[in-house]
This record gives sequence, C-alpha cells and structure tokens, in this order.
Amino acid sequence: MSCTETAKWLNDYLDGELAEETRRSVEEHLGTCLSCHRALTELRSLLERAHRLPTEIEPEEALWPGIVSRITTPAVPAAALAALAEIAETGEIAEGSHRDLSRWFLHKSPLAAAAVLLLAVAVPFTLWQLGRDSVQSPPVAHAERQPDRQIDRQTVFAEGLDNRGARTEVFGKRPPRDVPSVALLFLGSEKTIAQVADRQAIG
Amino acid sequence: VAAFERLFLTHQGRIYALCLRMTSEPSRAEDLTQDTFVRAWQKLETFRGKSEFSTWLYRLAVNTVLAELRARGRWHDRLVEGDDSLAEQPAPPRRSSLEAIDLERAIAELPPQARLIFLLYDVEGYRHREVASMTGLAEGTSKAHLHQARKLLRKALNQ
Repeated sequence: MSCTETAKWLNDYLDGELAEETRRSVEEHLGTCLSCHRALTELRSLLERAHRLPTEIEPEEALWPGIVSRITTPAVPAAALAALAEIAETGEIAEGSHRDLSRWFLHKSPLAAAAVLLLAVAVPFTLWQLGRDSVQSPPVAHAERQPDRQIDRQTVFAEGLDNRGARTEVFGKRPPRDVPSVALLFLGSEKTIAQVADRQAIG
Repeated sequence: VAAFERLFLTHQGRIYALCLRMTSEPSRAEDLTQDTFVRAWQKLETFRGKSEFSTWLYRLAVNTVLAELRARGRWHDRLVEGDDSLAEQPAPPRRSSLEAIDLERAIAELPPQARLIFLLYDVEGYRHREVASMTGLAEGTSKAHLHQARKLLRKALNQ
C-alpha cells in the first residue's frame, strides 16, 4: 500500500471502520513508513485531546429564570384581561391595549385563539338557537338598559343575550348594525376593535 | 415545572457547551440554550422514550443551532481553498486547560458543518449514523466533513 492510499484510510483505521484485509495492509505500511506513522500519531493525539474536552460547560448567567418565564406564561396575561375588561365596560379600547390582546391571542397562545374563535362561532349560534326556542317570550330587557351596567361573558351566558342584545347592552338602544358581535370583540382582532372605535367616535 | 427544572439542571451544561462551541459567543449560546429547553418543554409530549431523554434533547439542541446558523446564512460557510488563516479569535470556553484552549480555538475556526460533525463524533461520541440523522446530512457527507475537520485541526495545532 502506498503513502497516498494509507493517508486515505488513516481516519477509518483509527475509527475501527476498515475491513480486515484493508486494515492489515494499512498496518503493514505503517510498520515500515516513518512519515505515515507520524501522521497516525498526530491524528491519534488529536482524537485523544478531543475526547478529553469537557462535554459540559456551565453558563455564566443563570438561564433557568429566562426559561421558566417563557414556559409558565399565565393562561390569560393581565394585560389581555385588562383589555377584555375595557372592551366589555366601555365598548372601546385604549391605544396599545388592543395590541396586548391580539398579540397574546394570535402569537403567544394560538391554541387559545383557536378556542376563542370556536367560542365566537358557537356562542352566537347557541344563543340564536335559544332565542328561537323562546320566541314567544317578551324581549329581554333591551328597553330597561342600565347605562352603568357592565357586560361581560358571564352576563352574556347568564342572561342568554343574543348578539343584538349584547350589542345593545354595550352600545345603547340603537347599536350600529355592523358592529361585530361580543364574541368577536373577545377575539380582539385589531380590525374589529378599530371598527368599534370608529363607531364610538361617530356616535 | 419543578421536574423540568431538575432536567434542565442535569443537562444545561452539555447543551450550553454545544451552543457555545458552535457560536463562539456566550450570549448567543445562552439564548440558544434557553430556546432549546423552551422547545423541549413545548415538545415534551412528543418524547416517546424510544431514545434516551439526553439524546432527544441533544437532537433538539442541534436543530436549534442549525436553524440559527441557517438563519444567519452561516451553515454553508466553507473554508476558502488554501486559506487556513483564522480571522476571528473567539473567546474560548472557560475552565479549560491551556492545551484544551488551543484545541477549542482551533475548533472555533472550523467551517460550521465540519465543526458540528467533529463535535458530535469526536467530542460527544455519536456514530456517523446518529450524526447523519441529527444533521440531515448523508453518512458519507458526515464522514467527509469529519475528515476535513481533523485535517484542518492537525494543521492548526502544528503551526
């Protein structure tokens, strides 16, 4: 075997990946060639040094606080809750708050966004069904609206308000027809909130 | 979370070592280590126990590092033929002997692909089949990168 061939097989020789016949040929050459033997010694020394390198290095900074803050984000952060409460109470939302809400829903918790989207579809449908069942009943207290009363999801559920009823509670007796449903308000999309803000400004 | 913290404490040194050697920047290595554990938390339910947790976690770390290198366009960096000079002098990891510091510096100067394969095979002790699986490279390509890395390291350490 030549020096060129030996050099080609040297890595596989040290890694124990040569077939028996090739391995013997390499060893025969190494026994007679000082240059190739030196190359083998260098390579072996490199691998021994590599094996001695620490496989663990401790970071200077404590990393756990940064991790735990990212994996234990509350189900609904305070900023998003405040934004929801603001919408429910006033029908509009301060600049910046909508970003807290939509950012959280759409980026931090896509699963929750999906759940709320489902709620947005299911609640109006269910309430619509309930409304159909009680069509003979007198209208739900639209005319008795209490101006200072807060409306929230619990109210919607507890009183079985349909979308129109919920909007009336929020916007008064004559809500704009195209104001989106309360369920959509809870989704917190910027477009929805912008629409609400516009309507409030017009009103 | 307490159980996950124990796993973090057990494995953070190994994950950080990989990230630091691949980036040569402690702050980036810290970010990548944190990203790896956050991803591990998010993907914990996909861990089926077919491999050891440490291997599964290390694979996640490799993917995180690769994504970072690809995002920065560094993954396919190659050494220009005949140019073995080392432009940068990245800070070596701490707690190393002088001999190890020489080797750490030389490793830091390897092209990213060769560096990663050398770390996985010669430092961590994974076999080519495992390295190929982790990196998405063919076994032959992995082997070629390893041989190139060793050749460059021998050259650098003999200077």
